[in-house]
Amino acid sequence: MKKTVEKEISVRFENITKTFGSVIANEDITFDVYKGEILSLLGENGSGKTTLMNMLSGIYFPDEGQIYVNGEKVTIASPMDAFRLKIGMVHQHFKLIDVFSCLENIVLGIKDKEKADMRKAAVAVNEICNKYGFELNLAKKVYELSVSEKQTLEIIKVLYRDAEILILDEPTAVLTPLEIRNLFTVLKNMRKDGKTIIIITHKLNEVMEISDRVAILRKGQYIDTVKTSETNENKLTEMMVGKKTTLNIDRTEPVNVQDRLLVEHLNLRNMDGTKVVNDVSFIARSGEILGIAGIAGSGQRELLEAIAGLKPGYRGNVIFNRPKKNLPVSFFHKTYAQVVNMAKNGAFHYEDGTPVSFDGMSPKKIKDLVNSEKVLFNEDEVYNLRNLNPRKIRELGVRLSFVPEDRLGMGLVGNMDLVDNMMLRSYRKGKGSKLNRKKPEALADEIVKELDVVTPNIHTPVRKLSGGNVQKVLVGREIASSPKVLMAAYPVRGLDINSSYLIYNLLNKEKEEGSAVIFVGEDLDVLLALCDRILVMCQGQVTGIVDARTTTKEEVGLLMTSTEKEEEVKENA
Amino acid sequence: MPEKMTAKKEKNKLFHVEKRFDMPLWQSLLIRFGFIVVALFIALLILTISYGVNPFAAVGQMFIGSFGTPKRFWDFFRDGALLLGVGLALIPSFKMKFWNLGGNGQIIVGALVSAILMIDLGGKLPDAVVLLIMIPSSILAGAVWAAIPAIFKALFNTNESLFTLMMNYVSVGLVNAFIMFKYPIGSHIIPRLNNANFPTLFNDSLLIILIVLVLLAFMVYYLKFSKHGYELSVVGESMNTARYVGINVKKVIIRTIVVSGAICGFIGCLLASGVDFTVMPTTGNNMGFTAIIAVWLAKFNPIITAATSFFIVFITRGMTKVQSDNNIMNDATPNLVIGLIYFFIIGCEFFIEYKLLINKGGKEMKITEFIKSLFTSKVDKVKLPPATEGVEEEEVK
Repeated sequence: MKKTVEKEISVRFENITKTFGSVIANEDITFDVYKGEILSLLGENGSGKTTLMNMLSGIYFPDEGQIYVNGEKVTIASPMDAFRLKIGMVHQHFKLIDVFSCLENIVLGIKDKEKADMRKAAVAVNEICNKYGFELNLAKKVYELSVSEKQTLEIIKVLYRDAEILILDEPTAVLTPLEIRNLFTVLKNMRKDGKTIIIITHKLNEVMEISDRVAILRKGQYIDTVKTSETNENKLTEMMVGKKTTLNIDRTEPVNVQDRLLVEHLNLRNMDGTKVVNDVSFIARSGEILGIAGIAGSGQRELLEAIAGLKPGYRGNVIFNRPKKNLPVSFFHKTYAQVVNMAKNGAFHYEDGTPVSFDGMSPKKIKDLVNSEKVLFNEDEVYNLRNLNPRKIRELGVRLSFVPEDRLGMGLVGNMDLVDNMMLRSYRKGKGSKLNRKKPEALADEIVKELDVVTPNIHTPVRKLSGGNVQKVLVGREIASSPKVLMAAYPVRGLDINSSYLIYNLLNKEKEEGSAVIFVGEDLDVLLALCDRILVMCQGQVTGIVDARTTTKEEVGLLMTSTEKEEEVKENA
Repeated sequence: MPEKMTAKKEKNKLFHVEKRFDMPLWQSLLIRFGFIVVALFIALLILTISYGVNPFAAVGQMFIGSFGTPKRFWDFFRDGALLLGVGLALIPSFKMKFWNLGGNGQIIVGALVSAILMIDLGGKLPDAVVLLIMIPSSILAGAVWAAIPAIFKALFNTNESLFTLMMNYVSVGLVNAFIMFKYPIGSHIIPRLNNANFPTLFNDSLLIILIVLVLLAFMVYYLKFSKHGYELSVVGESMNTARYVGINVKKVIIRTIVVSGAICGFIGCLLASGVDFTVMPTTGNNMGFTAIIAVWLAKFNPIITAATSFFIVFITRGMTKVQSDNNIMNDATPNLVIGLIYFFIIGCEFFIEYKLLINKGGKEMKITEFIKSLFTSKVDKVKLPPATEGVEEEEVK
């Protein structure tokens, strides 16, 4: 880092505020970026990093505040404006045209005739490559490129447009360690060349390695900017996740704890072949809330979706364990004759151990006997849910509920009313082709009443409800089937404090009723206050399972960002 | 500190568009109706200017064209019913966001199969037996014709619009090939087929109309009250949700399109055996496309589709009458008028989905307010203070 006293300010944000509806993405943000430095913009997901940078690159327009570039007041109303100010952004999701060659992608959209000339461009681009040490075959088509080559191409594209200010959104998320090293070398070369580089990231080790200064955002607010040389990972974590706040969530001691769901060596690759879940094993127990912590995108969502049967083709096992002390789940899916036959073969016994014979009993009597829990199943029921789809899982009688992260895109249908959304899980019930809306209507009424859902009536499309009410509808439906395993991914995201607490209480209630609850959260305070154990994920791996009652925020924070797999896995349960 | 507003208002756009969320039904109907009136007005204006047509007389002629004689009256309802039938076939696929543009082809193969059976079996077997073979065969033909693109869509995610569109041309080719094969000499037109015609009730049209009404009732039930209908809406709204609840998306796609194609095939059978008594490459008269407009205008609601179908048939038949009564020689003019009306009806959807905010002197207002402001005094014009080039507080070097 150059230790010059006179620093030229390249970009200044002044009182920038941006809101989306009722969500405040950025609130009154003011800070400077110097020329010729690498600045890390650090923050958890949802802290507003990308929104802020999108305003600099002309994708969003600030509601309030002013941006200065090179000391001048500027209005960046479109990406073209940003381009004129020599600001270039490399987005997390690449904006390239697959069937075009690299060079065509670079030239695409340039209006200047001289620069758009392909032959001249090829020479100029090669010069850029040599200057900064890129390696890229310009004739290749984009669909032939690897992820890191695509990123290189994006960077060259920005440089060819003479960008002086480069914004990189999570550039290392998709790269291997070696590729990251190469990228950093290139970035250092660019810094030497006097370019201003802003990196959006949440990986602390990279922040420490590459950046000169770090600006920290938390929940849309600007916290501070510190020199990398004067800080350490712990301090940054604390600024990133915030000081401990007191929360009042009643956490009861787990009772009647049994292993309910065993996940063994689960491996999952996503569409483009990168590993998103890497050898994950854990046990979820009944009567317990297992929290999953981690920076968003560390594989939590994929893990839950795999368990729920939405990601066919994973490796590993998902064992659903149902001890004999309970009703046999498959019982209700058998015919009367089958059940009698099973009894003949000694499948059932009374509490004192004497075998049960159903001979000569009416179906109703058998049902009553079973429902009174006097009749027990002789064997534990163990199912491997591996690569079963949600319907098959249901048909096995495994009551596994899942509150997905994307409420209106996956859990609910926005254009349908509450009743039809209630029906999603249960519409197949009953014979014939006719839908039965009676029960879903009753359920919708009940959920509206019990959870105080604010809605004109139960025939309102759910997309018209506010975020909190949408979530109440979804969670309400998922717990209505009294699940044995309840998985919830970011169930309080975007919810106000009261709705959040309602959801926490619902999760707690499920725990007390003997469900194995898996809760993926982003707020560490909540995870620490609500859960019994916390599983920490980082880059698709489990970096630790800690006891939520004894661990600290710092410990979890470090596990969240540690790239090395933790050797010691604490297990105090 | 500079004012917080300065940054925002430096670039003033003339108007901006905002999505509406809650327009009551009566209001949207009013907008649609208003646009139809405006469209008719402009259409008649064009006719008046270019051909000297008396606009009031033209309106009368349109009604006479549709309802003037008992034959016209029944033909109007028959054509409307057939168009509604095709619309009903398209609704389930469109609700599933499967853009079935192959209605034409599905109708034509249905008609072709019917015609083949009428030619080859008619006279040899009793008419009732031929009909009993013919109806399911046509339905099957339409279903298979639609199932081909559906299977490709389900398994390989091919583009259904292009695929179904192409299937139309193949079906026309099949009809041509059949005619060339069966009637190699002459004008290549199949003469009127007199055997195994569709049964009639009271007159040629009533039974067809009644059948389509039964179909309408079935479709209302199928979409709103059946498990199949529910599944296809979920798939159409969100594939992810469908997978999340374990709906077999591939199966639902294929099944729904088979239903869609089957109905089209049946309409083809009605056309060949009950309306045209022949098959031509133009059988169906592009109803597969016209029905798309009817269905779209009705927002995939079967009952409203009935209204839009009859409306479309009304203006088509009405314009034919206007054309003949006023000695308008070219077909382009009535087509222009019909196109204009379609354009307006479809265009008005924009104003139903979005609201336009007009910027007048830095103040954003709705259209109604804007028009009002044009007539009121200009005193209330709000002028924003000019963007102050405030003194830089800090030297930036």
